[in-house]
Amino acid sequence: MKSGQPTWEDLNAYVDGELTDERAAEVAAALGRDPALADQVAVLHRLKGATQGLVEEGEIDLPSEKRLSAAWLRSGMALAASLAMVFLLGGLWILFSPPPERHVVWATQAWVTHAHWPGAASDGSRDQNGEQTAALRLAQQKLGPAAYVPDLLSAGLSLDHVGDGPVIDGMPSLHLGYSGTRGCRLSLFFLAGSLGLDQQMLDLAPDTGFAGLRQAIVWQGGGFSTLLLAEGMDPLRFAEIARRLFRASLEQRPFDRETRLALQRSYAQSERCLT
Amino acid sequence: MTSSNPHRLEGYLDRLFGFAVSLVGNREEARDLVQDCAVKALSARRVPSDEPAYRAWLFRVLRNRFIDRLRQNQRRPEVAEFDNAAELQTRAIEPDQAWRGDQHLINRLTVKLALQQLSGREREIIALIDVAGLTYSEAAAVLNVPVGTVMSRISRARHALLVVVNESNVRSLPEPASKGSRK
Repeated sequence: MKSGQPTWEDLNAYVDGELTDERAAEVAAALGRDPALADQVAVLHRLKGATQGLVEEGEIDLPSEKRLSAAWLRSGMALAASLAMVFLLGGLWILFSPPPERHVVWATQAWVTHAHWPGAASDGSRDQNGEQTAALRLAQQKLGPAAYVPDLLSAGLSLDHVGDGPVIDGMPSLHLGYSGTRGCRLSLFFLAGSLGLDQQMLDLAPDTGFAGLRQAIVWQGGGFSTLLLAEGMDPLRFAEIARRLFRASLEQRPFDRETRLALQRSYAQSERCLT
Repeated sequence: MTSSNPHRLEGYLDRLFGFAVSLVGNREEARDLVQDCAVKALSARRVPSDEPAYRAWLFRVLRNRFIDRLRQNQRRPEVAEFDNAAELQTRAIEPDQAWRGDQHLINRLTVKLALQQLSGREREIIALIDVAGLTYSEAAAVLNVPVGTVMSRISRARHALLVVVNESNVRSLPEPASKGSRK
């Protein structure tokens, strides 16, 4: 509730107990003054109660040992079968299937790099200035003078790895690995060239098998194709980092104070990473 | 992070089932979806130790399994319905428009029937908040959207639900006490 009468959204949040104490008190006062509003809240309570009543208890059990064992067996057999299929059908696939989009190929290969980079947990004892300078030197050697190395300390992430990323159509890419203190690992890949993307963030998760906890966003800008990967990071924090990096890459300048504060805020409000 | 624990999972089965019924619309398929989710959860090497994070993780596992199944069955329009890239296009309401109707129409039966007429995404948010009992921030983590979006979605979805309840021709049986006073 900004001011004045509570909105329908405010009333819903009030019934759900999602307003701050101060706002809840304002809504409660408004309800006392306005019987029509009080009726709306009564309706919402009744609706919530009826919906909650739809859950029937004890209707479902844990999966049987048999089903669990079957799942384990299936996953083992599926792994073996898929390895065999890779060898048998790999050649045919290459011959007859249309090539996937290049950014998808890049993201898929980059995921392997991300998964195998050990990502030492950051304890704050490392010389971040030194790491940053060395990384920048390497980045510029590899990708040219326009290359840059974002400082993500305000997002709770320390740079602890610089290395090669996948080569796509002969174009090299650079891998920067960042670690946090709560199990988070984030990878940033820069590729010196265009993959035919627009200057907007593209969420790869729905289309490239990055289901579950995997997170991947790619974009074009500032002379580079950029790919951001993480796993199990609080989605709001991941989105905030992506947005800020995206903007900085288009503007080709380091994070300003407002950006650093926003990153600090999203870090402070986030959950630890799930893996 | 801790390893998976069946007793811990057991406490969430009813709510996962309620959420699954809302997603798939039939109890048999929902039961299978929950079992699928439980197998996945119990097979995980590590799960969040923090309870709210564990709860959000479980519901996210179930939702991902559901979307995987839609994809496997080539049900693309339904997958698109759960795609967060496109914001919910639903029965639009004015910001301050309230629902005006007879609250006595609202009961378990009318709500159950009305839910079936909502879009998948409307059912989903109602199930997460009211059936599963998640907070807005937990639901935001499950859906991978900001908390503000959850707040907006739940209020729109409830409004849509009330409109359907109001328009339905299902009426409660008269209360026993008032029976005599009616013709």
